Amino acid sequence: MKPVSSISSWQPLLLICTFILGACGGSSNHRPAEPENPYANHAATYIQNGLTAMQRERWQSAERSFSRALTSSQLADDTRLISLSWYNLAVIHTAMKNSTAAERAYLRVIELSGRYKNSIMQMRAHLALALMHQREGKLTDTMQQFPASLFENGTWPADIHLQAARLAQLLQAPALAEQGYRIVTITKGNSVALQKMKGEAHMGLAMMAKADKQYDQAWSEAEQSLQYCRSIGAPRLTAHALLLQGSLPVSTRSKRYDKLERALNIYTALADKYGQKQSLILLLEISDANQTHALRLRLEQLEDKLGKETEKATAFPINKKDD
Amino acid sequence: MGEFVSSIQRKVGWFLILGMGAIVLIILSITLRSDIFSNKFLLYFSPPSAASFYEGQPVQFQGFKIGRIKKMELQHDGTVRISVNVLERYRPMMHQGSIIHLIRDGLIGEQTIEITAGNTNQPIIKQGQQIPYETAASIEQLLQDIKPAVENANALLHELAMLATWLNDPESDLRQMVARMNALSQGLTAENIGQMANHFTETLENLQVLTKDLKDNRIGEQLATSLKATSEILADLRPLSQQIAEQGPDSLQHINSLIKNVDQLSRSLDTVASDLGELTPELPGLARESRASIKQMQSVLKKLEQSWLIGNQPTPAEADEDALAPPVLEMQP
Repeated sequence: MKPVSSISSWQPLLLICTFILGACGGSSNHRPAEPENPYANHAATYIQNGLTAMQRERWQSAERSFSRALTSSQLADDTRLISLSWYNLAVIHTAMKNSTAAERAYLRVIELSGRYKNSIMQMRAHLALALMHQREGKLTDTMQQFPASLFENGTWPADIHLQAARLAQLLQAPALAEQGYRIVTITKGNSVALQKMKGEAHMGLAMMAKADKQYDQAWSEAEQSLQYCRSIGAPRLTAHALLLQGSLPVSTRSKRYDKLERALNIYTALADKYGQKQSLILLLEISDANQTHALRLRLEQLEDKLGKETEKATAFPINKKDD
Repeated sequence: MGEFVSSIQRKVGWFLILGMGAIVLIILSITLRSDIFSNKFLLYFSPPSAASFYEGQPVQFQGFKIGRIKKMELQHDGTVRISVNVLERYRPMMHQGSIIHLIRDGLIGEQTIEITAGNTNQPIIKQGQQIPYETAASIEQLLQDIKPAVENANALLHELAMLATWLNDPESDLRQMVARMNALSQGLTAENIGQMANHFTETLENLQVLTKDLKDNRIGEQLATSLKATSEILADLRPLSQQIAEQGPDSLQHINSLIKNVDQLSRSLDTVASDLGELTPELPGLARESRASIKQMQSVLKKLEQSWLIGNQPTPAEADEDALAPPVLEMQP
């Protein structure tokens, strides 16, 4: 019985301690805040503004924010932030299809990160530049020129593994691409950026599975991608995953129709005419006779618009701008 | 002798005449250059606050200096009225629809007043006309700057609410541990006495460490001036023990998330304060005050992060990765 009374006496003690601590929180003096560089703060805010704008595909707004972030970083003389701002500017120029400006910015990142011995940022910029060159058909690098560690778990940050995997996929190295994508999918973390990257990694795996005619796996990978997209709100990637599922001959016609219709609605909301066209073509393949007429009419109208846009772009190439 | 004196007088006379002539020429040249005697006309404008203006401040038109602020008055109704002297020769270039705004060439540097040309199809502005004043910061820019602050504030409040809910949840680790202790104290066995003693020893040790922290770092004092909601949350946090930290990884996520959101909010408020500086004196003041209290909260949260509650736990994600633009992959099938 003695131990019982002894242990019970601890409880009031605990309560007293808690009250004492509570009372300590009541006094009013405070210590002044530590000094900090306001330009570094401005740069960080502009970067966050740019990322928010980028998430909503407001490219020009993002470009303005990243540009202001660069100026603020230079005023703060923060070499880490300067490299980061150049990289963000390069990415936004890539998204805006301004490859000249993007290339200049990527090369600047490579130069600065080499100077300041930041191998992670250097690799990040190198891969992003290679991906852009690959899309433009002027890539001279091969996968052998990149270190094997890009496809080994835990060596690099997730975005670098993802870029390496996408590059490997585009350069017809599916085994490496799969390794890279798998690393991203098992990376731990809850940030929105990581969730988006996981969604993209599953999408990459789905595309590769479809190319290998492993339609069930492709469906399942696309479904996982959709789960990430729904949790963070990534409409363009959602549309891509739905389009891919709609194109797979593994499900019922009505299910595929539903997926394609949803993809079409998202592409329409995003004013993505190429996505709309792909969705309409696939919808036409599986639609009933009574639905065909309206879909065909819509596709023709869309092709007319696309044709005019192509003509305009050819006649005035200087005015060609994305979004 | 007389001739010598008259020669000296002549020389002195010439010297004085030439000297005075030079002075007159210099004064004339300066006055002509500075348009002191040029014809001018008055314009008025009424900004919400005179904080960014001063008498003699230059006024620009298309990048050229065309006048200066003559007078600043606070009217009986509390509004500000500023009169501007503008060179008459530039009047034909300014039409109805002109506005006055503050501009800044770069991110830093002095702000200057600019008057716009207005609508060239409209008549020329009149002497003594009231010109509308518009803030230089565009609505889009202001919205862009304010939005993350508001979003961060919302995220922060959400996190605080989540943490409070977790602490008050009867199923949470904290509540479960307290319930377990109550159950143990009523029906002790030889086995759980040791367990119980361990719990309390650890708890008291941790409380002693925290008390020392509070004394040395004046965390308690800082708490009082921090945001009310945060103080309440932190008050709830105090009785937690290492046992809970080990058993409740949820708390770590909440704290890490809180720290991240507080950092973001702090940075956003800083930019909002600087961008809104010219709108009203009250708004940036509020932003500054909030920021000061948030700075204290940051300090407290960081102390908590390092203290017994969540010591030796994984730190939040690297700053670089939070600030990186996502790669452009173009995954369209």
